Amino acid sequence: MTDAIPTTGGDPKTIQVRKASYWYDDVIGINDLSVDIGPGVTGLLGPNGAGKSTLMKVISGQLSPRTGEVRINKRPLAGNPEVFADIGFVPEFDAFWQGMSGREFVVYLTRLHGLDKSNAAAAAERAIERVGLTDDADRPVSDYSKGMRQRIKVAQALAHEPNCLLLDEPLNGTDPVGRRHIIDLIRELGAAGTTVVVSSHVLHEIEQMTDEVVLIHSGRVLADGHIQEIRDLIDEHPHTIHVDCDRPRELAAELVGFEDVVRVELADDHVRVATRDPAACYDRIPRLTLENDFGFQGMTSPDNDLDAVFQYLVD
Amino acid sequence: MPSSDRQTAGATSIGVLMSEELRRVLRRRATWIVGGLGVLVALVMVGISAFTSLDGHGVYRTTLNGLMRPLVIPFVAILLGGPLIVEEVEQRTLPYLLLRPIPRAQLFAGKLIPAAAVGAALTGAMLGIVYLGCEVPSMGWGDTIADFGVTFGGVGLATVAYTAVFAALGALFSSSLYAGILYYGVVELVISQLPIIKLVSVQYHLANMTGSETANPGGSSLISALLSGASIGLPWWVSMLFLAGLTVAMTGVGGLVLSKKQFEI
Repeated sequence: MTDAIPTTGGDPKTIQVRKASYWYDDVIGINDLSVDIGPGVTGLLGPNGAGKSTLMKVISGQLSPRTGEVRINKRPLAGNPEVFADIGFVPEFDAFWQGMSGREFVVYLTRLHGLDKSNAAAAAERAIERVGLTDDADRPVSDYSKGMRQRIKVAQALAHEPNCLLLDEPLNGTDPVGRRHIIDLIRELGAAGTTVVVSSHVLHEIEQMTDEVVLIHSGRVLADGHIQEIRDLIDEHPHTIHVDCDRPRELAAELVGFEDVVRVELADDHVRVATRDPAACYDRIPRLTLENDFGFQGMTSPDNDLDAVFQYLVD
Repeated sequence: MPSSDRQTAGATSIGVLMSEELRRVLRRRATWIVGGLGVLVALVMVGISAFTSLDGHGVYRTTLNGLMRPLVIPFVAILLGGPLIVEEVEQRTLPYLLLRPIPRAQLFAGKLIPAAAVGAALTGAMLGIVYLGCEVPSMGWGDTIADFGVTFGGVGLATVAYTAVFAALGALFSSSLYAGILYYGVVELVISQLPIIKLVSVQYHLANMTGSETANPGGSSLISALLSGASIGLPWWVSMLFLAGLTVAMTGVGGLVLSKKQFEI
């Protein structure tokens, strides 16, 4: 690691983190971490426990770094509540007030940004439309699917039109349609000049949103730059996809014929596929299961390949 | 978002926070159960006064000093104040509130005021029923209405002050009950009986405003009374100022906790 501050995104830099550390009792969250992040989409990539969520919470102001400083749009975050007008944050976990509809949730949080009722309602409407939940906006959030809950969390972060948007594992648990929606929205926001930071432990997810990544490991920035460099490393390690479906045997039979598929493991209710072309495989699996009525239920990536790359970089 | 769309003052945000908090408190089943129980107890006391040979004035004073002061008011306050911040932590919604451009003390006040107002309304209603059903038939309006006004204010202010104390302690220790119960046991039950330092307890000032601290020593007698732990009657407005000051101080403490504490949610 050099002394140069890791940098991603355009100029001017929206987020400036300087020598920030945060620890939980005797566990390090982030350690003397500095990074500059500017407009565009930046992927914050690292294995579970690397410090991504801690960094997100420190940048968002939920946690104050025990040492060091965070600045948003050149203004220090500490003791400066007005800076929060520039920040939208999507937490990793599901958290909602009981009995609220999606619309009430977004309007309430938007009004807490100082917007009056009509402006907040209009802003919420636009944000809900952007995440594709207009038809379900008046349903209670408790009735939403996991993917819809992720999208309504994104809507509350967007509604007040911040120029710094932080999304902690936003694709967790999303269905293919919701996933596509969120990915497209993130790309769109980044292209429009918003500084978007997305954390994930799945390289492929980040790859669909941006080329710029910051790799985090053990609370430190391990590397920063273009995702292709990571991809080159990762290509040596086949990517694993875990697919839940009703007819895994038939799906496995379809998948083995593809050149990029290097291994297929079969179980009663799922298939585990190792591929050298994750992008193609992520497109192919939902399509195949839908076309052949295999009862697609979802797919996740244990992403051991990324762990292997991190191990390589650490060593 | 154009800045012109945003209100320059934080007043709108606080108003929104307060109205949502009020809605939440009023929708909580526990609020209605406690309110209903309070009214029921008050009606029972009115029944006792009306259908037994017991003196209405005595029943009123017993309800006030034996039930409301040591039990009902702290119970209502801990029920409404204790969970104010703790509940947001437990359901993980606190970050949504903390990450809004609202000063933390205002955030705390915005949550506290509706809960404290509902608490004061509940205890005030209970007191009002007992006053109208027991005290007035026994003593009449003329001689009691002024004292009732002070007592009513004292009960309301004590409820508000307790709610603020329990909310701040809940936020500080991330526990809606235990810290409040400990505070009540130590400060309000033990310290309120001790010479001099009893003046820092809500119980003392509530008793003073409700006319239970009747002696009125002056000069050196006041010092002797303070040291001996005897009954000390201070002007009611001193206690009113103390309870109001305690509420403001606890709101500040709550705001400070929200500012400084790391909520690792």
